Amino acid sequence: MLQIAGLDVRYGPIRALRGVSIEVGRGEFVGIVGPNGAGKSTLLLSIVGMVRPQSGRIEHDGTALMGRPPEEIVRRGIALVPEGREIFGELTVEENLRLGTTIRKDRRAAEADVERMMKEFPILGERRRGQAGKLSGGEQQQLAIARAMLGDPKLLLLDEPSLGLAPLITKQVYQVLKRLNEAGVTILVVEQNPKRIMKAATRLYVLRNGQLAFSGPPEALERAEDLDRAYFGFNEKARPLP
Amino acid sequence: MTAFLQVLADAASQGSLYALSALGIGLIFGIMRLVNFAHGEFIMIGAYMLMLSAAPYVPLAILATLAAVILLALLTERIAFRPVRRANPTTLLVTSFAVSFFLQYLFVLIEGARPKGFDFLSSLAEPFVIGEVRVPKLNIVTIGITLVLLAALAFFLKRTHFGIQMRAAALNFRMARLLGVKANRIIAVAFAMSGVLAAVVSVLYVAARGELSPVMGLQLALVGFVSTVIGGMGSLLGAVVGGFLVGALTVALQASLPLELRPFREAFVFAIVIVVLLARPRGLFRGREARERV
Repeated sequence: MLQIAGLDVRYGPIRALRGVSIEVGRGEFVGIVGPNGAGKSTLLLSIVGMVRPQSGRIEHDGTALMGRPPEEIVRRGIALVPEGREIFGELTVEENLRLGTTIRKDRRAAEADVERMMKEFPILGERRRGQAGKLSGGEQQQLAIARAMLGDPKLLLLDEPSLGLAPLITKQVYQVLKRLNEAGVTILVVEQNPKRIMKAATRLYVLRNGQLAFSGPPEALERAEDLDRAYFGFNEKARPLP
Repeated sequence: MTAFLQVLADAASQGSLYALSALGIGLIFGIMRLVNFAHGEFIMIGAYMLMLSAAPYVPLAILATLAAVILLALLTERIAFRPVRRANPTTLLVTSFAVSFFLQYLFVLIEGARPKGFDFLSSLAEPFVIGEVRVPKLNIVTIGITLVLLAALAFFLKRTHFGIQMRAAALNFRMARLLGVKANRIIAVAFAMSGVLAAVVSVLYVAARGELSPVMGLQLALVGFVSTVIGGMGSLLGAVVGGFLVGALTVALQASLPLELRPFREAFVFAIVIVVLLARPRGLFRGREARERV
């Protein structure tokens, strides 16, 4: 469904991604973990066209995505729930959800889906006329996911959905993602904290210093030292800084 | 009491023109953090369009003015502002000055620098008498049109899907685009709307003053800009309130200053503006000028 090959991204002198290649198949639940500054967000932003890579390839169902604007990429069925959720705090919950339907052609079906979403996430229904900025962190995360889903995406990208959430809330968020995945949505999640994602994902990538350090099933990283090695590069010769 | 009501009526009509000018500038600033000083030239060119198309049939002339200014606003966006949209705010500001001066001197070249008299809808100058207050019909028309436009804009922004997209884009353009909001279309529509606001000011201004000149837009753009700053950059409500406030201030000073000080009215207006900003540096309504652009 999504193929990325040899992706290079620079911010001025800083090389955020170096030759990163990943693949996401239809119906998969893929996780990308790595420490702060590993390039995880950059990777997701490159996919949706918010960051322009220097070289490499990003293909979605055989179509090259690079160079296309975000508003076109989202219309291909790729939605991003960005880091920090980025809900429109001064708009109402309902307006936020409506915005999720921007790319839908069938307005009536879209309106019905907004109503359905407010039943699926009852707290959003209760607060529909309230300012979205007044929701708690967990509620905002639900709103961000619901809003992304209203565009009817086939591939859902999430940037640190557990950031700033209590463990119990994180668990709920992952239950929602699991349900969506079972309903046929392909999911690619980026997390700094690998704990939750290792349980949920069917396949895992570890990104470190802008490069892939591991790819495979999460079970391969079950032993703590294996994870540490992939995650932090322990037990490896010191690598010169770029 | 009568004197007070008289001043109030004058202030409301002067404030209407300022509020409409401020709204045109505030709308573009809210969406793309661009202070469009060329807005004054949109108004000026609208006025010339009105004169040049002045058919005996007034509605046709007004329609031609509207169409011309909308087209001008769209062209300006496409040719001058779109290529520098991602540049820093200073570049945008300088570009808007360049466009402003270019259009101004273009009209000096075509029409000459001297003001021209133009008698338009002068029948509206007749007063409408309520008790002892005499309000020119034009003032009532001005206030009425302003209220209708404000209501229409509020309805558009609050109730239509495109309006919600526009508000979202003003709050966080990056996220709006991630949801599929089309940047080019939103910005073009914002410019078209600022064109409508400018054209309306052209018509009302010419009807009130009976003359036009290539520099006529300068003061309106400046006052519009100051009004948006007072109201709080990025807040449309603030722009409207700021416009009415500056209008009211101007009229109140005109009525209350001793005769020998009246020529310096503007100095007093702007001194009060400075005091307001010293007390509330971010404007009366908190703006969002710190947010990133497209």
